[in-house]
Amino acid sequence: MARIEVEKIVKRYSDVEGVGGARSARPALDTVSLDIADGETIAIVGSSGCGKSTLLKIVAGLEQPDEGVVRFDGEDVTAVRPQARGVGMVFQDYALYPSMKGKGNLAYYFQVHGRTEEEARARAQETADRMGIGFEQLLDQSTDTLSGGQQQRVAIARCIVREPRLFLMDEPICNLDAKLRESTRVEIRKLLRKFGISTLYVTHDQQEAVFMGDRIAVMRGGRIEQIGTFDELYYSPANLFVATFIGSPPMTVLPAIASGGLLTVAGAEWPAPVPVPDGPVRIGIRPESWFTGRGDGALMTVSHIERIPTERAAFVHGQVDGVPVVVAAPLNQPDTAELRIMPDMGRVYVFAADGEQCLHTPGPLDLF
Amino acid sequence: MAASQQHTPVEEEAPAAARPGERETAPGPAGGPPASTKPGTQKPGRRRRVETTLFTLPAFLFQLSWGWYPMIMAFVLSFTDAALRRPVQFTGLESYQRIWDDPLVAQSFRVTAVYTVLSITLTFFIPIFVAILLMEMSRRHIRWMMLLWFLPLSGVASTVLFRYMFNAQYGLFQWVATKVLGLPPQPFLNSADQVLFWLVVPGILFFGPGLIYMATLQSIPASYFEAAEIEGAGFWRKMWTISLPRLRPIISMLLIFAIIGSTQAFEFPTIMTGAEGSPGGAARTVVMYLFQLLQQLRYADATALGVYLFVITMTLVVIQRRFFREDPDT
Repeated sequence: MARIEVEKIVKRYSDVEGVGGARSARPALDTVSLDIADGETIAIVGSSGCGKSTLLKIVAGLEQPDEGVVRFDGEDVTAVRPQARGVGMVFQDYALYPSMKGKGNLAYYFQVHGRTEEEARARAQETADRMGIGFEQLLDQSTDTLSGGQQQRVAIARCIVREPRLFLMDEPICNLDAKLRESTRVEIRKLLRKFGISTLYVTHDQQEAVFMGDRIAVMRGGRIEQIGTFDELYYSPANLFVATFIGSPPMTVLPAIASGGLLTVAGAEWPAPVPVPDGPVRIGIRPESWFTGRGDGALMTVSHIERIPTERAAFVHGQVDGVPVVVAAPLNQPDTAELRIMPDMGRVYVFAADGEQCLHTPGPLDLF
Repeated sequence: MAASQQHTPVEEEAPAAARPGERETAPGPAGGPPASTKPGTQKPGRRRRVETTLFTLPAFLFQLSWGWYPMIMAFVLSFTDAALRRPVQFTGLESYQRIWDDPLVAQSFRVTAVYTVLSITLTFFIPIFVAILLMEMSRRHIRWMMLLWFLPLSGVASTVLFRYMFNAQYGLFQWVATKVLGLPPQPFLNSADQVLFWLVVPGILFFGPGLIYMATLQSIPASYFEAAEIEGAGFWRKMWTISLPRLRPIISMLLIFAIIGSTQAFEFPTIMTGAEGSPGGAARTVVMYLFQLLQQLRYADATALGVYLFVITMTLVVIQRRFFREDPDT
């Protein structure tokens, strides 16, 4: 258990292969700073190549940063070798030692460090009890015979068995099929809660990030764009990228003209939520913030309706003025070719016409 | 497959109308192949059988006429006198007896055994460790080393070059031994005790199966080594617990090839030491002696010797398979 500080990390790869020289000029990590409180889980989310795995490896000590400092409990560990940092890492491909049974995988650390057999066995037993029902059988099997989910459980146990200060998870469940992914992520979340170990959890799936992380860091191009709770990212995004990245289906961004407190969008005129300087802007509307069937709405051509019975809702997909729009509607939304839609102006995001600057965000939803 | 794919859209459009039609062409799911279908839409099972046969036939015939037929004929021939100009006469185990009693055969088997053991220890196991060590180098160095090692070399040309280097009067190795190391002149290939060792040495430089090991090592995900590194494993432990287990199937396969290859050694020793395997047959392998028998037109004896060699090689391969058998629980 530890408080982890990552300060102004810069990492450049000199010989990035493929994709030409343009890529190697850009650092893989560009002044990344991050604090993990004791026992906190931070989910790092971003598309592939955004540097999230590199960040993880630097925290683990497998890669050396070009600049910056990594601190565990205030102690500078930047030059400390990985085995001395006390981190446990779970990999996407499990990376269980081949030709060893589950037991052997758990005992590996104790063998490397010349501990006694009894200690290894006792710790493995203890870990098996903590991992829950049915785990002990896995230990007696060769790892090649285990399913993906079972292998990942053994991999997690291999980390837990030596009580790491920090857990690092690199897309641990993305190799599993959809159904197993769902149950495994619940299980991992439970385990993380139980052990209260500080965790960095890397994923490219934002839903997974929302589920796993106490806080979520959104990364792009080697930078952390924003870090915060889901509500902060969802209702108060730092910029247009975070606003469109978080949320599924994504937010609709429509060009608008502001003049005298009114916003003109696709022929419709709506009152601006906040005073906006006259001129072109863009407004962002989440799917759930649309009203349908209003006379003063913009005209939307419907392409298809996606009905989700478990949510008692439907998503209407279509276009307004050529811009793709998704509108949340009741489950019994009739099939029509066109729809008049208007945003809940109190929940509208306003962005600058160019760039990614955020002019106004609605802030957290007032539920009570 | 094809039939069901064709029927699905029809069923979607008009299920009631499609059913009877389906019944006409296909007598039912459990009724075997359809009785009559259009030429283009034959039941795939039968067509596959015909195609499979057609595709396999040339390979089968080739293997039969150039592989199995000569092998079986050689086996048959070894029980005859294999006469050329008069009818062949069955002689039973006479050739086997003669070969068994031939002191040169015993010598050639001893030579082959020593050669096999030397070449497997020196040119088979060393490259495994060299490959693992090479993988520890930086990417750029690995590429250069591979280029140097795997430059396409002509087998005969480099063999002739080595013959020059081993020359006892003016060879490079002699120069190294006397001028650099200050040793008395060495006999190299002229010594009956050393000749087999020196025959194997060039094989180390050719790096044998190293490329295959390196390719296999490169296919091991980096995360395996990273996981071990985080747990504090050093180079040797990583090698024992990750690299070698992952190489095991390849090692097992290549070891069979190496055994077969070195028990049948012929070209290299012949070019290096002459057809007689000089000095005094100290480098005459079994196949070299077999070739000598053929030149003396002793075909029956040659085939009998071939059968002996086959049995021994086969035994070695079976032992190797036993030794490398996969764990029963994997």
